[in-house]
Amino acid sequence: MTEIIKNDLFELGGKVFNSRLIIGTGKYRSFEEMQNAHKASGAEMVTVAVNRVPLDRKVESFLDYLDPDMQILPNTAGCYDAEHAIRTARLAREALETDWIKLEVIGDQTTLLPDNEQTLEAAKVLTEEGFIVLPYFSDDLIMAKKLLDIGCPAVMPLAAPIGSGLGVQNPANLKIMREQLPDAIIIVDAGVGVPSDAAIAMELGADAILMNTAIAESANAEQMAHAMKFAVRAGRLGFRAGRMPKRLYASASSPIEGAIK
Amino acid sequence: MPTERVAIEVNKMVIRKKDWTTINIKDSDQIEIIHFVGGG
Repeated sequence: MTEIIKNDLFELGGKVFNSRLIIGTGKYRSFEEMQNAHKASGAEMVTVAVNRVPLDRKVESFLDYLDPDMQILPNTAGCYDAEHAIRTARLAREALETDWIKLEVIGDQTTLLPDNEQTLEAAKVLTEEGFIVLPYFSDDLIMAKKLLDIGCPAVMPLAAPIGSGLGVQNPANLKIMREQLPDAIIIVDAGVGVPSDAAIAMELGADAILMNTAIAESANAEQMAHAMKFAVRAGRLGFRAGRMPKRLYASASSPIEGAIK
Repeated sequence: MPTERVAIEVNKMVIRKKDWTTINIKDSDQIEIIHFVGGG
């Protein structure tokens, strides 16, 4: 336990991770690009989506391009209600023999904003069935409390809409969540665009970040993944170091007494 | 079709791998076969 604290390791669902960056597998231009980006990111957990097997053609085995040492986190992307998400989670568990699930229940196709109510309903069922449920939801403290109360080991509030690249839109909210839930594991998921967005989220107290588009849609995915690795680390170190206070007025850094006049 | 890391649903119920060879299916059954793809 002390090793975990001393080395600031990330503990979740009975596993221990060095990296606080979780990445996705969507929108890459090629499997090779995805593979290189994953490696550069240093991430140890990767999320994948569930889809129908096309029976009319051969498909390359996408999972073969994932580092076998990475924790695979299947997600319920594409589900618009609890029932569908629950079925998808059960299928993913059966196929991958893992209890881990990123629960995503979307409320509307345009904004891809989560349906918090359906997410809670699905989370109740899935936690009871022994899943390690990581729920994606809008950054609402009350919803976070409900999700944690029913047994989710972490909560995943969005920074901004999926794929928007806007960065943390409500920093005060995230800070409040961190302060009001000091022992909760908070993973900021969705909306990160650039490394500073990731650093800001970590500085506000997030335990980890999940991102996909920020890396996959950058001009150079491998380089961006590398940058994100450092951003997450920098933000985390900054948070642990404890920031200086903000001031309205200047406070001189050099001594005034003895200065040449 | 590979049988690893694939799951099957019949009438919205997940079928355990061990039951794949023994389950009876009817013409009217709705079958879904899923695998994993890129996503966020």
